[in-house]
Amino acid sequence: MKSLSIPKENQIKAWYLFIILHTMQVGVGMAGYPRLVFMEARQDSWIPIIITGLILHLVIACMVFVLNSFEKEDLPGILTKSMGKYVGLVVSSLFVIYFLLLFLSVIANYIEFVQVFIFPQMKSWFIGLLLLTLVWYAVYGGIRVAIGSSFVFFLSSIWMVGLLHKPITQIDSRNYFPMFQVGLDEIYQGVLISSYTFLGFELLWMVYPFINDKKRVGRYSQFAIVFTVAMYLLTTMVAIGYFSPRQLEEKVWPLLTLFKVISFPMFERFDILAVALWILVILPNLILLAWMVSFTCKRVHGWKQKYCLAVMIIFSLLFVSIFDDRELVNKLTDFTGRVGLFLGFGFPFVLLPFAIRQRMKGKKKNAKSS
Amino acid sequence: MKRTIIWLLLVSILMTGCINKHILDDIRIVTAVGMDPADNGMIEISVVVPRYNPDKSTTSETFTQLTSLGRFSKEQLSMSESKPFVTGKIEVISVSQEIAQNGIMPLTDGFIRDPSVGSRVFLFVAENTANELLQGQYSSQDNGMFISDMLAQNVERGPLPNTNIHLFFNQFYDKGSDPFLPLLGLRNNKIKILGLALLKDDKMAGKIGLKDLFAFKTLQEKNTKGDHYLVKLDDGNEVYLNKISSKWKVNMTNLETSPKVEYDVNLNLAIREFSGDKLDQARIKKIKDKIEEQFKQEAEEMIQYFQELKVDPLGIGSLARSRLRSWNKEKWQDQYPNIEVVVNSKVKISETGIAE
Repeated sequence: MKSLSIPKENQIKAWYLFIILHTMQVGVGMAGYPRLVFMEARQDSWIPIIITGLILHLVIACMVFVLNSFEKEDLPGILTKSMGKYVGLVVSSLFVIYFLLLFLSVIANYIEFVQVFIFPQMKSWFIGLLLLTLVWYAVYGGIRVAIGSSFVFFLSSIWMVGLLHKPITQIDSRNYFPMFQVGLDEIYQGVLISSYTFLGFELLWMVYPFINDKKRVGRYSQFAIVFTVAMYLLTTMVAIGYFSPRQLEEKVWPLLTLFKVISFPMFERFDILAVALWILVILPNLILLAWMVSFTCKRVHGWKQKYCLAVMIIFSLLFVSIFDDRELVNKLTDFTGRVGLFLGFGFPFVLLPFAIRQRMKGKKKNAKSS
Repeated sequence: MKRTIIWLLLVSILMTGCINKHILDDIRIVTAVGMDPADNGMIEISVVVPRYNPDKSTTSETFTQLTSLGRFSKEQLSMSESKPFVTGKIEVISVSQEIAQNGIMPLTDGFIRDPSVGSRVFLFVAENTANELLQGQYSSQDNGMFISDMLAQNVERGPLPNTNIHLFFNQFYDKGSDPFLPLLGLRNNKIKILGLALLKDDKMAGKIGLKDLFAFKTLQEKNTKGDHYLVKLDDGNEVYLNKISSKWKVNMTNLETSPKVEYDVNLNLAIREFSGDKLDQARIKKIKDKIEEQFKQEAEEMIQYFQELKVDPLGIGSLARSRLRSWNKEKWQDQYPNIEVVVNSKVKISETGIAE
């Protein structure tokens, strides 16, 4: 496989990583996350979140180390370089399928939101078509359009954090106490549960060659993680304070239910709008994931990216129109989360020895040539 | 390729017109729902729909329906109507006292499951029947909006503690507290707040009247403001005071064995009316002492009444739960009726008005 050489006009600044990694991580899982982690770790949910955050910092550091060792390579390039052509091909294909799973679970979950909250009668294929058209448009324009649109969507959705103000005023601090009641086992379970929600940082594998100032990659991706963890910590703690324990367990999407308390004089039921606005949170995920799937596909098999994209979009459309009951969507989400635990969190460490070997080689070369 | 995408975008935009829309004139917007018992275990559901008259006034129309489950079924109601009912703007849900005594949980499931029902909806208990309350004509508004506004303003600056369907379930699911609901009834053809209905789990176990609301609100919420208080001094004079603010701290000792709960309440009051002739420092001191004494007595009696009923609307159990690691519900419920609860208050009279 050839290494990528990206023309200057297609490169992006490293600080975009802060935005795109963060938007990738915050997505459809966020709405249901406070409940899931609460069911494991109760009022001490902040412990598993922080632990997951620390693990993530380690994973990102490892990814950056690996990527830096191979310099201009992305994931398929690293895999073929370190594991050989055939193994590399198989593992890269696994990643394509995994990215596709992530994409499908995001879109299926969002369609479910829309159907539950706003338009129960709207057909899945119809919502799917609307979303996928936008995705197609953004990805078709190439990496810069994909990242640019994510940036715009990030800016147009980040203000929603301010909506938490109203629920915060109604927090009952009794719900946080007594602290430190959680056992090691629950913390472990809480960390596992968090894994699906925090996924999305795999984007770094693919986007790395496009980055202009590679020295700053580590810094900005770590910032993104800090921001994401802070966001999850905030929403989870607000949900725990606002709902009483058993009430929180009953809410499938606590974050969206939180918004139900918000009301403006000219806008009585803001929660309905919030669900619709959630599309701004979802779209960057979909766009970047679609780019990842189609681009990895192109890299691995040498097919044209636009054909990969077309096939993928048509497949997704068929998928969401055929499988649209909640049970299945949940199963898909769980499965993706479990796969992500290995491919997202675990895999960078598998590549670590190869990266070290690569560095040694590089040093020898340097020593010889000097 | 570009052309295809433009086509697709165009089609998507045009297709947004295909979704089902609700035109205001063609739907019935339900603003209030009432539930009453009927024969054979059926439930009579009354719904209030505003009708906007040509002369710009609004009157309420009430529709009733019998259901077995108690679920408010808009589809079933719509069957005998020319326009469909929608639930997005329900403001109040009322259950009759009889239903409340038998447990309201099975009836409210539909309202928390339905995403179009907000969490600021008021749930209240009607003294006789909900239907009778919802039928009347009280103002130029429809009854749903009227009752909702009435409760909202009484929560905001009146004696009513903060209440809505979200808080109700919050307390219901909290292991250490029991829910309460406003109790409303008809007096002289006017709808009136009569007090609070106290619930044990989801069944109404007792009620408190208006005179206890001051102490209740002060102790139920951590910080409150805006309420009034009337004291009769020993010399026969009466003082009418406004509450500027209140807050409390709680002290719990011996939680494991025989708990003792001590509330320290800080009341900041302002004198609004005094039936005597002159308000000097000595008088004010007297008023302060009297309020402290009276408040303590009222609050402690009220809590004793809660303990007799074994209900805990103040959430003392929750307070204990957040302090004690080994807290468990069964043990607490055994202890609760015998807990010693002391309420100490410290009154500050910060204002006496613009007259001496």
